[in-house]
This record gives sequence, C-alpha cells and structure tokens, in this order.
Amino acid sequence: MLQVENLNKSFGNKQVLFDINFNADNGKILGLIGKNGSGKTTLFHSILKFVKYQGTITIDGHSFSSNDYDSVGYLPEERSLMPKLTVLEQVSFLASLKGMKKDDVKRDLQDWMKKLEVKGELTDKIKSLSKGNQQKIQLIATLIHHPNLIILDEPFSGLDPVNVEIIKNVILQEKHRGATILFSDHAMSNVEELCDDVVMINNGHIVLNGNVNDVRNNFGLTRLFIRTDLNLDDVKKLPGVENAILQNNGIYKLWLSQASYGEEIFNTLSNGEYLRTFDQEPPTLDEIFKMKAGEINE
Amino acid sequence: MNKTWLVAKETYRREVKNWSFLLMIFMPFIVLLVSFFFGMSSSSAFDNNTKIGIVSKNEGIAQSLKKTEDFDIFKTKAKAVKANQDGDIDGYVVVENTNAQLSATYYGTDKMDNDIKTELIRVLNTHQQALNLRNAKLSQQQLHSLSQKIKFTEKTNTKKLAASDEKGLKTATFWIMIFVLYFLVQTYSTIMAQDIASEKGTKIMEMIFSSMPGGNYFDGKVLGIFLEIITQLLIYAVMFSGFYYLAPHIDGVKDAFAQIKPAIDQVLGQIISWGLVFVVLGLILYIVYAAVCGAIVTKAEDANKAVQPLVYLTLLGFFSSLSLSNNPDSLFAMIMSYVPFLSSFLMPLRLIKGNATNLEASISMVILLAFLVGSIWWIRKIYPSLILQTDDNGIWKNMKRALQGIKE
Ligand SMILES: Nc1ncnc2c1ncn2[C@@H]1O[C@H](COP(=O)(O)OP(=O)(O)OP(=O)(O)O)[C@@H](O)[C@H]1O
Ligand SMILES: [Mg+2]
Repeated sequence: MLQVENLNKSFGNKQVLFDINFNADNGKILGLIGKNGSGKTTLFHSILKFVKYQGTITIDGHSFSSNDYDSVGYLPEERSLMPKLTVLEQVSFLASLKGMKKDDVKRDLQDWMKKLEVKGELTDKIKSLSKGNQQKIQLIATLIHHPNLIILDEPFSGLDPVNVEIIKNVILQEKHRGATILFSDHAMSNVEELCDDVVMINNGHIVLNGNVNDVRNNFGLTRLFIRTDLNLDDVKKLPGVENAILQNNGIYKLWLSQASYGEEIFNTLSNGEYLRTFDQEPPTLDEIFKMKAGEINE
Repeated sequence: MNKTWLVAKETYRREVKNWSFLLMIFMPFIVLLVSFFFGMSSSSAFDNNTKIGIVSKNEGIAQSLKKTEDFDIFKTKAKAVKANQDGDIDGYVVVENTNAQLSATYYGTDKMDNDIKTELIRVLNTHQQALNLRNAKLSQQQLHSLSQKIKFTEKTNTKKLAASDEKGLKTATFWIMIFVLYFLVQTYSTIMAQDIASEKGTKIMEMIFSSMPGGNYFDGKVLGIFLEIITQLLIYAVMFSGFYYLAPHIDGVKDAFAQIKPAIDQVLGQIISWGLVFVVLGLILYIVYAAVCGAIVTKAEDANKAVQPLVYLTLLGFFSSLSLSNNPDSLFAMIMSYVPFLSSFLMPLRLIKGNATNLEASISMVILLAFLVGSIWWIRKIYPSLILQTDDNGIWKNMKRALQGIKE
C-alpha cells in the first residue's frame, strides 16, 4: 500500500504539486488523470525519490528506502532502450539490478514475450524491433521481477488497439497477483475500464479522488440518452434540459440540471408507449475531468 | 555495492567488447611503426645526400672510417672524382701522409657537414697520434704507463656519467608519467562522457534509478571505465614484460636491449613515487568530471564538446610543465602546483627539479584529495537530477535546474 500525505513539490520558486493526499491499495489499480504539465510525472518521480519533496510518502508504512528498489517496477513516460543490446542482454541487465538471477530471467523472458505477443527472438538487437515491440520489451523489464508496487507512466501511448488490449490484460493479471498499480493516462476510457480508483490532478492540485464508480455516481444521473422524432429545438425545450446535441448514431444527448427530471421527461416522451432508447447515466470521467479542469463550465 | 558492481561490469563489458577498444590499444604501435619506417627511409635518404668520399692509401684510416655510413672509401682520386660527378657522393677528401704529417683536403660544392667534419677530424687525429707515438719511439714502459693513465681517466668519467644519468632518468620517468596521464585523460574523458551521454539519450536511466540510488550508479560507471583503463595498461604491461624477458634471447635485439636495460630498470625503479600519487589522483579527478560533462549534455554527439574544458586543462597542465621545466620556481608554477587538475602535472615537476619539499607536496596532495572527495560527494548527489534533465536548454540552464531539483 502506498500513502501520499501533504506532498508539495517545487522546482526553484515554481511550485508544481500542492498538498497531494491519496492512498493506493494492494491489489487495486489507481488511475492518475491530468492535463499535460499538471504534475503526473513529477508525482511519480517524487514517489520514487528521484527528486526531493516536502511531505510524507510511505510504502507499506515506511518511507521509500534502498530496500524498496527491488519491489518497485517503473515504466517511464518516454520510452527507449539501449539499441545495441540484444533483448536478453537488455532485460537481463535491468532485471539483475532488481536482484534477479540471469537463469530466471532467461526462463521467464520467453514466457513474457509469448504473453505479450512480441515478435522477435531473445538474441535480436533492440534496434531491430518495431517501436511497439520495443515498448513491450520495456514493459516486460518493468514487470519481470514481480514488483509489489507498479508505476506506469502513460503505458498505452503509441500502441494500436489490439496491443492496448493485450497490455490491459497484463495489468489486470498483475492486479490479481496483489500488486499495487498506479498508472497515468490522458484517455479516460482506459481509466474507466481498468481502474478501481482515480485521482484527478489539475495544475498540481488534486481536484477529485476516489472509487471510479462512486465518483461518477456522485455526480448523479444527469446525462440522458434518448431516441425520438422530436427535433433538436423541441428536445431542448423539455423540462430540466440545460443543453442537448444530436449524436451521429441518431441519439440525442441531454444535459439535465437534476437527475430527477429524467422521470418527467420519460413520461412526456413515452406517453405510455414504446420508447426504443432511454438511458440515464452519470457523466463520464472524461466529462467530470473537463468540468473539474475548468474547460467546460456547466 | 552489489548493484554498483553490476553497473561497472556492464559498462566494462560494453566498452571492451567494442572493436574501437582494440584499435585504441594498438593505435600507438601502428603510429610508432609508421613513423619508424618513415624515419628509416628519410634518414637513409639523408645519408645518401651527404656521403663523403675518402681517398686514402692508409688501410687503417680506411677501415675506421668505413664503419660509419657517412664515408665511402676510394683507392684513387680519379674514382672519387667520377663518383662525385655521378652524384654518388657530395664531395671527397684526399688524405695524404707526407713525412708522418697527415693532411686532408676537401673537394666539394657545398661546405662540409659539421658533424661529418668532426668525425673525420677525430679519426684522423687518432691516427696522427699513433704516428706521433711511433715517431717518438717511446719505450715499452713509457707506453705502458701512458695506457694505465688512460684507463684511470675512463673510470672517473663513467662515475660522473652515472650520476647525471640518474637525474636524467628521473626526469625521463616524470615525462613518461605525465605523458601517460595526458594520453589517458585525452582518451578516456571522451569515452566516459560519451558512454554516459548516450545512455542518457536512451532515457532508460529512469528505469535504472528506480532500481538503485543514482550515486551508486555513478560509482559503477566510473569504476567500469577505470577497469577499462586498467585493462589497457595491463595489456601494455604484459606486452612490455614479454619484450623485457624475451629480448635478451633474440639475436638481433639482444645487444641493443642490453644497452638500454639499465635505463629501463632505473625508470621502473622511479615509478613508485610522489609523482605517481599525483598522476593517479589526477586521473580519477579528470574521469569523474568527464562523467559530469557527459551527464550535462542532452545529446550524445555533444559529449565531445562538453569535455573540451577538461581537455584544455590537461593541455594547460602538460604544456606548462613542458615550458616551465627549466623554470620550476616561477610563481605561476608554484601556484599551479596546488590547484587540483593542474597540480598533477606541476607538483611532480617541481619535486623532480628539487624545487618543492615533501611538506609542500603533502599539502598539495591533501588539497587534491579533499577536492576529489568533495567533488565525488557532490556529484553523487546531483547525478540523478543531471541525468533526468533531458530538455535541451543549454548546459548552464540544465545545471541550474539540476541544482534546483536537489534543493529543499
Ligand atoms: N526538472 C524540472 N525543473 C523545473 N520544472 C520542471 C521540472 N520537471 C518538471 N517541471 C515542471 O513541472 C510541471 C509538471 O510537469 P510534469 O512532467 O510532472 O507534468 P505531466 O503531468 O507529467 O505532463 P505530461 O502529461 O505532459 O506528461 C511542468 O510545468 C514542468 O515544466
Ligand atoms: Mg508526464
């Protein structure tokens, strides 16, 4: 379990992180969302003691010490390996720094490559692999020593949907193994799909923190999706509607001022008759994030 | 420590496996061989140009002059004239013996080369003396006592020579050490900086720093490069001792080696000295700072540029010890012999010239050691922030940001 308390971080006189507090539990995935430059990478660097900071960060109750290096797996944001080494040499070196024996690496590496569908041999030079495969090798090097705390800085960037799915499965496996997992991303859909908890960070401040479903439900069922013969202007005149758009799939999306207007609208539209689409939802994380980040003021 | 060692091993393995390492080891020999062959051909060309003909009927003179390559012996003047016209010789000397008086006359277009003239006159003088002795008709006993006297002067001469030789050998040892320092810094500062800069370029460093403290990683890198330096020196040492023990058994080399062996032994005897301490500490200091230079730049190709200040410092050290070698008591040499980076060149010079006391050397060494330890302590601290700084905004800005990163 990772605990971050009252974390403040400045570079010179520029403060980057303000009073960050959150917990990440064992066997759970925590998603960190924030715009470019909001301080996600800096937060990870603080946890790993790459930089000095104010506040307390503890792993299983103690502050990060040299004993913790072997039980941490970190995938940095900008990815690349040493191009001249072979896959085996590269992973062996990184794993040996985590205290793994070379024979164990050789045995496990093959399994990992199969699991992640890496196209290439152990003896291939890193530079001969495609970018996506290099990225997967780096993820293997992050996970091969079975770390208890896994930190992945934008692990899906640059991968095609098929490979994103492969990596999601690997992350879920690590979760079931009992590891504490943190990852950052810009795409909310990944966070919504994978994460148990979410931390939203904007300009160095936490704007939202909690269980993903709770967070959404706290915002109430204020999103309404309907299919109707009414035109857009008439839809906008329905009770409690703040805004409405017609989506490409022929479904109207309505923003309600209160969830309770849903029932009233249902009665108006259906009039006791069949209604093909009526779906009342909480806002998506994406919308919540945008609201919180102050891009859309509703 | 275990991880530091892993890093050292990996660094070493990568560097030594590189074919450029082999090239680096054997380059000096290739250069030496090439210059040797050039030297051979140019010196023989030189000989051809200044060959002097000797016309003499005296077998003794002919024999003693034949030994050197500067002279060609002709039986008659006519043959010498022809050789001169053909360009085989630059001129000729006719040596005549009239009434026990040797006289030599030079015929040629250019003036006679001074060295050759000296040599010729020396040989002729010996023969003149022999003629004089023969004419003086000295008794056996007189001759005997004369030769005894000669033996005596030889003895005093050799003793004097040995004393000045030792001074010369000390100086030679100094120059060899200074040159080796200069050479190693020139070579390995670039290697060190490039190794680190190229790693920084791959951005794998964050993974490594999540596995071990940055300071330990820095130790490993420097250690790895030192292992490489030691390997190179060991290869040279093995080659040298092979030569040292085999040379007395090889026919062509035997005699020449016997002549220089005492000098080699003396140089070896001089190696363990104050000077060596300064050279070794200096080398560590330069390599440590070369690592910093590599860590500051953001692109591997900038590493060469970044180590330039260090290269200039060695140049300054090397050439000021060259130019101050006759003037080691100048204020400049005094001051520089206490300044780290330069003291490794100038303190050994002052010691060799008998210009610095042991106390002065100790003070300078303490300064150097303190500076080195302080530097390493400081660099180990800022190393991760230097490496993780990958925005390309200039060396000084990067330095500043790195320092900000470690504050608080
Ligand atoms: N070493 C440093 N020195 C000074 N400022 C820094 C340093 N590292 C980061 N910053 C600043 O801290 C802020 C947060 O950067 P950070 O990289 O943590 O953002 P991020 O959320 O990871 O962004 P992105 O989504 O683009 O990766 C930025 O304004 C950045 O300029
Ligand atoms: Mg980032």
